[in-house]
Amino acid sequence: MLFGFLAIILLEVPALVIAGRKKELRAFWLLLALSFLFSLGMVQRWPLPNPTPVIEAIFRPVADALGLQ
Amino acid sequence: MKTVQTTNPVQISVRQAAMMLITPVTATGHLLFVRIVFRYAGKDGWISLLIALTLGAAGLWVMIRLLQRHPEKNLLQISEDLFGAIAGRVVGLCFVGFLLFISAVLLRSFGDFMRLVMPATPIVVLMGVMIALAARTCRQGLEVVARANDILLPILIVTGSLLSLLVTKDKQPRNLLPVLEHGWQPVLAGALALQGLFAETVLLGSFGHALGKGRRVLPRVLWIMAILGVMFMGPITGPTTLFGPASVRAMVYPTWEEVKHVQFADMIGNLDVMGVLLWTLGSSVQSTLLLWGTSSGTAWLLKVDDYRALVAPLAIITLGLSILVADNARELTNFLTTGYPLLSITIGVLLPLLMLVWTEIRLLLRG
Repeated sequence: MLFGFLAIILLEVPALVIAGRKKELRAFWLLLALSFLFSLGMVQRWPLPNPTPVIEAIFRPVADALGLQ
Repeated sequence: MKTVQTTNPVQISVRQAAMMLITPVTATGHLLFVRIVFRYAGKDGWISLLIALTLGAAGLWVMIRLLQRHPEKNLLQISEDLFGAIAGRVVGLCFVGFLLFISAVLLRSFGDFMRLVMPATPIVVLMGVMIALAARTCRQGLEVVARANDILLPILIVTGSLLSLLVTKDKQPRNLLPVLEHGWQPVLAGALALQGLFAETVLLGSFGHALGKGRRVLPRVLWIMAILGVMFMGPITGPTTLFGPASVRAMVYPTWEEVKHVQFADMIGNLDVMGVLLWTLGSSVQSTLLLWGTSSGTAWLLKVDDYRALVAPLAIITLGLSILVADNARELTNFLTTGYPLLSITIGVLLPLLMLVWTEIRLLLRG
């Protein structure tokens, strides 16, 4: 996993630094940090938030009323 | 110096935009939604399809009309125009979050299918390869995806039609009778579940400004729906006429079972690999388009000009989310049958409809 992230950094960061694209660089680091935490959570089996049960709970009454079971 | 790929309108034609809508809908439909229709409507699935196409046409008309009312703008820019800077970005976040979520759900569905073909390979590897390919293509820009799709969609249509024709001799149309044996309720439930097919209409809001050009919206919508109708009628009626309604209900991938059945002139057989090829091609275009939609939308939310730097991290998040969305294939199917169609209708049809109504009211008030 670490090698994968390192490869992405090596592929993206030098080009962004040379082009002087600070906004893109900030957004990249932000999302990369998020994706790293997310991946680490998956590997370490942290209780990560899963949107599926939330969506199901929201739509369950409508689905039942419409016969979607 | 690299060229700047902004979130501004991309240069694709009306035909390319329409074709890029057809490919993902077809890939998702044949792989996932055919069995869901059978689960509800059984042999009356073709009636569910006709109703679903009518509802889908209405949703597509709403989206194209909205794009037409806001020339050269995408769905996210329109939401900011209509609801202001903060509320507009919240609505934009809903669209981007939706694209990320369906991207993960559909990637997982592809992974579950591929595990049947390659049971020894871990699902994360199968999905990882697909999303890495999507990320690589996505970085080349939407125009490249559109040109690749120009080649792939005709291959999908011709090969799929040929496979369907090769089993025609074994089909029993009587298996479709009697019509409406269990009344309208299962058929309507099937039609509603099929609305999940049109979730990708939201993507059209990102790249479909080309479809909004000119005045004649309805003929374009009808053409797209007619092509989708032709491409779905075979897969929806085929397994029933071939295996009978009772057997089809028990199948996980009825269309794949139909492809496996192909045997022609004692020479052509074992064509299930063709089915795998078709769904892999379709799913690769779908994953690329959804990743493009998520990346360009996120770039807009973060006020970044070049979406390409965000593709790789978002691909990793999509992959992680695809593992998280369901514990197993059965749980995913249950979600695709109940919550997913309603989520698709809410974000893909009702929210754009609200935006269109608000646009028309504003135009009326301004005189």
